[in-house]
Amino acid sequence: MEANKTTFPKRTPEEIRAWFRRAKARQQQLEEEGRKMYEEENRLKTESKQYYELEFA
Amino acid sequence: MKRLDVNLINLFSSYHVWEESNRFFFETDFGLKYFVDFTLDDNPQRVAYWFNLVNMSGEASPNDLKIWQTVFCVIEEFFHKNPDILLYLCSTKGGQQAQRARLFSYWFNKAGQQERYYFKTAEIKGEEPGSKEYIAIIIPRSHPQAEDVLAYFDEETALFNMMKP
Repeated sequence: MEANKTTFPKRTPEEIRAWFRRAKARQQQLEEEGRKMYEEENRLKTESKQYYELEFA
Repeated sequence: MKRLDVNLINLFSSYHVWEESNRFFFETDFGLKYFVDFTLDDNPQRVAYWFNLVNMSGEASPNDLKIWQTVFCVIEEFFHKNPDILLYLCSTKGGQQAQRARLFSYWFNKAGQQERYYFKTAEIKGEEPGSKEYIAIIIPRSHPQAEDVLAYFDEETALFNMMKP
């Protein structure tokens, strides 16, 4: 579909750049949270395995 | 954002999806774990959400159709409950943003989603000199402001590319 001119109020280039930077920062924050959650899960799995091996092996 | 029904997602998704704190998790056959997050965009001109797909392990994923099939089930349920706009910024992890943009577009079209949604991607200048970012917009064809929103997206991405870093 060919897009025509929009009727939305225009933002300044600085506003657009700041908007993009906020989106990028949010993405990086989520990726960091995901990485930490994954590491924590792996740590718990390893500790559970070690505990099981010590207690029941 | 209206709450998504994870049971409806699981009716059709390839991987089992579960919800924790408004995030939608799934684990692949290859042991990789992902979550999907929707964040309200702060532009007051229209209601839009940023869609983020996070690969928690950060490991490269094999070509796994089931990931995309599952992601599209989440997106379908999102639009079912929220007839708004989705924005997607491809992750630059590993410098793979161009491939991610192509893959997302490929699977989106392959899944026949273009019958119901407009889907558009734009290449924009990254913060680092010479780098590129890819941004996409998905909007239901039934959205009352679809044409205006797409024009707005085009204008803003064009303006972004004209700016000096």
